[in-house]
Amino acid sequence: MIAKVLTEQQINIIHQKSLIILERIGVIIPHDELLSRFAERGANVDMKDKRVRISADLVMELLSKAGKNFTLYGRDLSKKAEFGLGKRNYNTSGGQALWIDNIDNKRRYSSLNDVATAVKFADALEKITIPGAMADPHELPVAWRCVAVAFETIKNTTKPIIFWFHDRASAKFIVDIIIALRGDEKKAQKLPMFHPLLEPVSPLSFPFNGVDLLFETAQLNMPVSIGPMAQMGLSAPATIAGTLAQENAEILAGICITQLIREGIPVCYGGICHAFDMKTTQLIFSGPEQAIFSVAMTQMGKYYNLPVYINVGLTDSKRPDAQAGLECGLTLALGTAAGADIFGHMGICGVDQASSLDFLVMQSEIISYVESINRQINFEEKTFAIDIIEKVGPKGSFLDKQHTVEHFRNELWFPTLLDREYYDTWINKGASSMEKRCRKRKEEILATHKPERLADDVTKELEEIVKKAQRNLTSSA
Amino acid sequence: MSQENLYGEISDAIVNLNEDKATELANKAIDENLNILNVIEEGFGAGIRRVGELWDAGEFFLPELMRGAKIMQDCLDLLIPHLQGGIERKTLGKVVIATIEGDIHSIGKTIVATMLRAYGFEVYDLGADVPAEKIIDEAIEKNVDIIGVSALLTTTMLGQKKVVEILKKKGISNKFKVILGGAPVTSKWVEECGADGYAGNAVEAVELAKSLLHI
Ligand code: B12
Repeated sequence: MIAKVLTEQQINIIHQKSLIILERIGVIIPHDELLSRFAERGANVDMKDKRVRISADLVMELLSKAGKNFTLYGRDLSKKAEFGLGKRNYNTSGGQALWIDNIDNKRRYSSLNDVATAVKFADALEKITIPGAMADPHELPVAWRCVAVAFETIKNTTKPIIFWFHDRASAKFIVDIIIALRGDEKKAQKLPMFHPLLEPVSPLSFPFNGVDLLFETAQLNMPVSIGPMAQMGLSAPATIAGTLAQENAEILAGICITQLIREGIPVCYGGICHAFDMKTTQLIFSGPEQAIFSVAMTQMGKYYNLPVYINVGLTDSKRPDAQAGLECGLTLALGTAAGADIFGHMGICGVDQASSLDFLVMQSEIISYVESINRQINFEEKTFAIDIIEKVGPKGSFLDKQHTVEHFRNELWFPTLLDREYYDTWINKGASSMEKRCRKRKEEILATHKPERLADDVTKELEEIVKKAQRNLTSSA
Repeated sequence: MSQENLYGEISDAIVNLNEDKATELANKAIDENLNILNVIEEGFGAGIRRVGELWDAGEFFLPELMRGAKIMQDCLDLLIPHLQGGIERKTLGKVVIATIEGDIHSIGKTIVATMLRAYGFEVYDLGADVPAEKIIDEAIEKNVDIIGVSALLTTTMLGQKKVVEILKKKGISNKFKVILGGAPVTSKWVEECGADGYAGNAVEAVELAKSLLHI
């Protein structure tokens, strides 16, 4: 961990404030079954207001039960996303309502076809560990949409995946999908491929469906990420410290919920609070506060020994331009340097304004750059090359030395898209902008990449599950 | 103190976001048995219009706008019971607003409601996750001019269309103007629904409401 914004003492103060919030103010959870579980454990529950006040002792006890690391496996079991094990993971967006085919085109509603394109695309990008659906197909009814999205996503990548869960009834079919994929329930539990995100509604309340569906996924002990999007000054106090304390309280309450549903469920600490723009009345994705929030939240999550997920590498810009580069690059560099486990939701244009592969291409280059910053410097004796320096001597050159040939590829990062040409060469090559190069690269990948096919018999089996979901969930709606 | 001076002081108290002063002046108007309608129109109303102008000019930010509207609202709650002769307060118009069923995104809707209030509309905010039928029942009961429906999810957007359809079925679409908003909503969608207007943010929402009522 090389980036820090909080001292040990400040971490402790935030922790204490969060416990006071949970004990004195509490949270609203509109789910009777869960509230009675809280009551059984001695929490102060008001069944009428659906409000629970949780003592510091109970919070700490439930927190201690939570699983502190987990691994998601792709169809190809060697493709893994490890949480809480010192690895860095990158995922693309779980789904956006709108889609932009090319920058300068108008945005349009996303479709299931876009899910296929997006996932195939992220399958090709080496740095993306978890392809997300990126599109939220508006043509499908919400009752079974996520089941169809899960299937489409699985078909188009061999990596672990992410998409938005909806409710308990549809989650049941998603559980069936992973069981069918892995062969049986035991293997499905041992080898999770995706996991739900529990999003508390700031300030201090929880959505019924988000909680309810965990009863289904818990049967496989499926990991859960908990990520409230508290917005400073809007749904949280107008101060960084106050927002951190409330955000942390909401995550802790979410962790308590998971452990009351099933003890031992592995969790990921989603420190994804944001600033809010008092001028445009829009949430702020990037900006200096985002860097501070993300580093601070990583420190808090690590204080609890949990895997951490933060919203960095994002931008408020509507084009993959200078603003986008600045915002994605700086926040991602700081977030990774803080030591979080997963950095998310790449491929978004502006603040959740649409999905765009042009952005994703740019971010994939930024990730590569930032990964290189996070390297360990090689300090082996031979790297100092004192004897070579001696051989070359004053005024000589290192270019033709064997030592150089042996080392330069490991020490130097090579861009795919950034321009470093001589001026005239750049002109001769068409004087292209970064935006243009992103688009070109995008088109190359779209034209060439084919993910490994899902076996025919499995495809059929999953198709049946989607059809069944469609039948059952349509009639009950 | 002359009436004009009092109106000026009230207006200043709103612009300065001075709750104590605004409340004190509202109580003073009640104690002195002044014409409450005039106090509201020329004192508080003038103040909130100045707040709106400062927002338009980029000098006020959202919290200042919302705070001004809140102080104004609290003072109106004090004053309205004392309106002489049961005269109904003159407002720009009445609006019922809600986030549609199945959708818990409430932030944008609340901002729009507050802005409309600040500009002098009488607003009934029904909250989030509200069924179309309930919105319409309220609109009829409160005899509003405008129905505002917010949706942030592509799935719940269909509920916006439902509002228009129910109004048509009941044969009362000409009684209300329906305005729609929320992140995925576009003017094209509004057209498709057969609704009356679209606004991309709260300032535009005020302009839209005014223009629909020819103000
Ligand atoms: C904050 C947020 C949340 C918060 C909401 C907190 C709350 N109390 O409202 C939380 C975390 C709870 C949340 C939950 C979910 N969210 Co959400 N959320 C957002 C986010 C980031 C910002 C919304 C916001 O508050 N913006 C700030 C306000 C001021 O802007 P606004 O709402 O657009 O309102 C302005 C205008 O639209 C207009 N306006 C709004 N209403 C009206 C009404 C009228 C009449 C008029 C004229 C104008 C108007 O004026 C407003 C002021 O300027 C958006 C992304 C985005 N950028 O929009 C996603 C977003 C809306 N969420 C999304 C999703 C998917 C969800 C979840 C389903 C996630 C999940 N899997 O659990 C759940 C929804 C649960 C449910 N059933 O509703 C998606 C929707 C995609 C889709 N398919 O439609 C979005 C677009 C993000 C994305 N991934 O693409 N979310």
